[in-house]
Amino acid sequence: MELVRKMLGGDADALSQLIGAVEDDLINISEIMSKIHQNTGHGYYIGITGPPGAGKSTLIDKLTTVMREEGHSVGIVMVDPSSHITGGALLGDRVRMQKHYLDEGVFMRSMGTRGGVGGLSRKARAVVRLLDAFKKDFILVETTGVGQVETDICDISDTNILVLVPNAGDVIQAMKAGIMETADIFVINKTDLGNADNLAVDLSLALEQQKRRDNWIPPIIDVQASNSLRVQQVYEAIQLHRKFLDEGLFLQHRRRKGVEDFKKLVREELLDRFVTVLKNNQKFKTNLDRVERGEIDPYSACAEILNSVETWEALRNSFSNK
Amino acid sequence: MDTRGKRTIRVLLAKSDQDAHDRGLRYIAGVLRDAGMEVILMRYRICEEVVSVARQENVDVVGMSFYGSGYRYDVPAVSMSLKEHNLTAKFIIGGTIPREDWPMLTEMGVEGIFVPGMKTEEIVECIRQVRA
Repeated sequence: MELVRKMLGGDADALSQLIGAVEDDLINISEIMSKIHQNTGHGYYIGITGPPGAGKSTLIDKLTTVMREEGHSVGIVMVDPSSHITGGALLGDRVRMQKHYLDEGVFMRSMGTRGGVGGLSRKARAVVRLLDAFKKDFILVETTGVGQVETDICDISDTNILVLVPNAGDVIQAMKAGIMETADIFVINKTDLGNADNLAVDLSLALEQQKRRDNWIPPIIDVQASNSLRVQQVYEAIQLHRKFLDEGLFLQHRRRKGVEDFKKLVREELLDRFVTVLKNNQKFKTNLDRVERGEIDPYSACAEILNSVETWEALRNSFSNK
Repeated sequence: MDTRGKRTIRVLLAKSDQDAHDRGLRYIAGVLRDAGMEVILMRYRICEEVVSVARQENVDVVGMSFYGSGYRYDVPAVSMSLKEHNLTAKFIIGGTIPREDWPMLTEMGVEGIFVPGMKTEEIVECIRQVRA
C-alpha cells in the first residue's frame, strides 16, 4: 500500500492521511496493522489522564520540550469527547502546545472519541501504533479524564500518569478503583493553588492500602506545569519506571499489552457483527415490539434471542457471506 | 452517537496570537461541533504554523478569523502555502472583512467569507459541501 510505504519512509503527510483513512474506516485496519507490525516496538507509550482542567495538555507541552532537548522525537495523540448526539467534538488540546507546531520532530494529532468508551477512541489504539511505526521515540496519549473508567488507556501504555489538582481531595475517595490502580506516576499540578500537601498525603495513604500486580511504588510529584516547575522530575520518574520495566519484564509486559488489545478487539468486533445481524433479525424485532408493549420483560426477551438457534445461524451466515 | 463508517468533517479554526477578539471564533466552533464536525482550535504566531497544523490534522477545512487588517497578509500567505503542499482543504475566513476586499480575497483562493450578520447555517452548508 502506497501510503504505508511512504509513511514508513518518514513521510509525515502520508502518516496524516493514513490516520484519517483509519479514522474514517476507509481502509482495512488489520491489513495496515499487519504491514507495520515489524516496524513497531521502538516507541515508548505514555498515557496521561486526569480530570478536566488538571493541566494535562500543559504538562505534555512541557514534557515534550524536555524530551526534545534530550534528542528524542515525540508523537502526541490528544483525545477529546465526541458528542453522543451530534457526533461532533471540540478538539482544543493543541492550543497549549503552540511551541511545537513547527518542530518536525513532533507529530501531534487530535482525535474525537467517536463512539468509543473508556476515554480512548477505538481507533486511537491503532493510531498509536502508527506513530510507533513512524519511529517516534515517545508517544504521549492524552485522554478525557473523568478519573474512573480510563482503563482503556492502560491497555496500551507502558507508563501511565495521573494528573490531579489540589482541592480535589474528595476525588480520591471516588477514585478507589480503576485509574488509581493503574497509574504509575501521580502528578499534582497547580501547586500554586495551595493544599497540595494535603492531597499528597491523602494519595499516599490511599496508595498504601491498595495492591499492585508488580512492586513498583508510584511516585507523587508536585509540579507547576505552566511554569515548567519540576517537569524535569516527571521525566526522570518516567525514565525510572522504564528502567524498572526493562529490568523486570518489559518484553512480557509489552506482550501482555498486546494481549489486552487483542481480547478487546475480539469483543468489540464480535459485538459489532452481532448487532448488525440482529438489526435485520425477525425474532429480534418481534421481541423488541413485545418489550415495548410491556408484554414481556427485557431479560426474558433477551434470553429468547440468545437461546434461539435461528440467531446463531444468522450470525454464522453473516460470516460466510463476508 | 456511533460514527463508525461515517466520514466526520474536520475543521481547523485559527486565530492570530496578536488578535484577542476570539468570541466569534469560539461561537462558530460550537456551531460546527453541534453540526457533527470535529473542530480543532489553534492560535498562530506566523502563518506557517497554520499550514503545519492543517497537514498533521488532515483537515477538510481551514478557517481563519480576523479582526483588523491582518487578513491582507495572512490570507495570501496561507493560501499559497496550502497549494504548495497540495492540500485540498477548503479555505474560508471570517471576522471583520470589508466587502470591497471580498473579490480580491476570492481571487487569492478563499472559498467562503463569513461576517457578522450572516446566518450560521450558511457556514455549515458551505462546509458540508466538502463531502458532497
